Amino acid sequence: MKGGLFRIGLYVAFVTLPVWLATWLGAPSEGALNDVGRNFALVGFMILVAQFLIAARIKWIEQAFGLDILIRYHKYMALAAACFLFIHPILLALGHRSWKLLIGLDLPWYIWAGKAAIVLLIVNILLGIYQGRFGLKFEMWRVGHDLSAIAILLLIFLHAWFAGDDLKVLPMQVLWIILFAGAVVLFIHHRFLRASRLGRHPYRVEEIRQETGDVWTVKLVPPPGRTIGDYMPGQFHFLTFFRAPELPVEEHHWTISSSPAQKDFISSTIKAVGDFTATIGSTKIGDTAAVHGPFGRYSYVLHPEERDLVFLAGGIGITPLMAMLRHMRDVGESLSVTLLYAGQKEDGIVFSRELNDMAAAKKPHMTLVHILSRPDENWTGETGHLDKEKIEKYCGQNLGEKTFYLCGPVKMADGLVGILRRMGVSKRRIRREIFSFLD
Amino acid sequence: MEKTILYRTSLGVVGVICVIAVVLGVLRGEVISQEDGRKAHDTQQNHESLKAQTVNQGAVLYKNMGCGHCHAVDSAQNGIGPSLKGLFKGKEKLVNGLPVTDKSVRDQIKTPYKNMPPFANRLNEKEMDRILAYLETL
Repeated sequence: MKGGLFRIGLYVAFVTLPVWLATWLGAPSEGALNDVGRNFALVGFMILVAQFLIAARIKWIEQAFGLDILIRYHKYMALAAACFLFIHPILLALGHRSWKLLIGLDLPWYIWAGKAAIVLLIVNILLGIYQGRFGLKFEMWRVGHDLSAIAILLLIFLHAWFAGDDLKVLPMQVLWIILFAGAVVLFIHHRFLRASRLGRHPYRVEEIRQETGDVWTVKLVPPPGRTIGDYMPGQFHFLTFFRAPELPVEEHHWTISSSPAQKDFISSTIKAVGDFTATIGSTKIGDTAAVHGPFGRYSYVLHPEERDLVFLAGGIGITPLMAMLRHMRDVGESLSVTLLYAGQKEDGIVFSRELNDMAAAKKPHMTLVHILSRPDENWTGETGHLDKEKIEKYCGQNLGEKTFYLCGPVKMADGLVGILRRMGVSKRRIRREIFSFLD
Repeated sequence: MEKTILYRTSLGVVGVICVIAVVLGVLRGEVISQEDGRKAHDTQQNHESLKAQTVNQGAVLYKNMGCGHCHAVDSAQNGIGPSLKGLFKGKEKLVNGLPVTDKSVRDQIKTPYKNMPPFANRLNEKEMDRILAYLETL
């Protein structure tokens, strides 16, 4: 989290800016309850505006934290904003000693706008949390999420403009307009302008290779005249494929599975798990893809002082770890890696041959252990699950000097974190990549 | 462990924001009443200066509530709403036909007769006192 503290400080300053202004320039005090109630509305709105900044994938912000972390932060912030905005009318009702604001029906339209904003925000949050359980397709959910975010901002803007006593002075009004306009401009830039620019210079599919029954590697080359930018092994990017007309066009994120030490192509290794990825096998050479990245801070190169690594992989979670191993091989990295790779069956092991070659050639210095939970009879390797016993067997008892990189199904990774913590591994030596933004 | 570090950081951030919002909210009243206290201390601590403060606060409220958008106070010119100059100094009746009294003016502000927006939800009793004190000086 480099420079993280500074950015967090800026965030707090940004969010509380209108409160500072209102205290000195705004309406006179109407008692502590009312004043705090008004301040809560101001910070609630500011938090929502800040979310447009965070979601816009601004490099200066993203590079300090990693986009996956930012998106989780974004979810916490949405909840916080909802709390502030929900408490705001309650405090005002208490301050005015009248419940009319809350339960009255004969209220001005801009009061109704404020209530609608709170309701819409709560619905937005619930749909974000339970999207999977409602069976809502991701793309549909995302469009709804974006539109409702704008609607919420607009409703709050209008509500505050007409109802807000603190917005009767010019400086506050100017600030309000700048904030709202800024959020809208950011949104347009992120979702439309930049997306369209990336789409005009797409990468080309050079190779599509089936790794296992439901896993494909797609290799992409940059458009003529452009080179692949720098990235760290373990980072991810967003790909929007443009293929045959009957195939869907959606933006999704995947790990970059290639090693950044080679500049000829970038690749992603994609498993068919959802309604979009079910079509990945239909991608053809010559198809194109808009690429937006790299993002994330899950990479061993960020910690060059750590020389003894343990990779714990489950299923398709091997991808960021494979990118790191390939990079280690390409640059002749001398640290040592123990890879415990859990799966079900032997034919489901992704990159099986390449991993064996790496271990045999000691490029990198790797101890390779496959653990299968449902192997065929002729399997002679480890069986069962990646558990404490396996970790002790291959990593020893003294885990103090080791750093663990985890990537796999959520339940498996949760379990492993618990095991490692109970074995005395410090939090800072457990690094975890969680693929899904929506859990 | 990234996730729990993230959780604790988020909680911390929200906590700081909340504290700032609450403290500044409480302080806003303090800032003003400290000024009142100073003014009262400088002039003699007597009934008249207290009244003057109330009138001043009423004038500020009048301005911030936007009453001047519809009502004139310096001239007898009626605008969107009737002029309030000399309201308590001999004006016979309000537009709704009631005589001008402290109570009828308060009622009119809270639940107006015609096109005026209602201020029942926007002014508490103390603020109403201040506005009335100001109106009485017009």
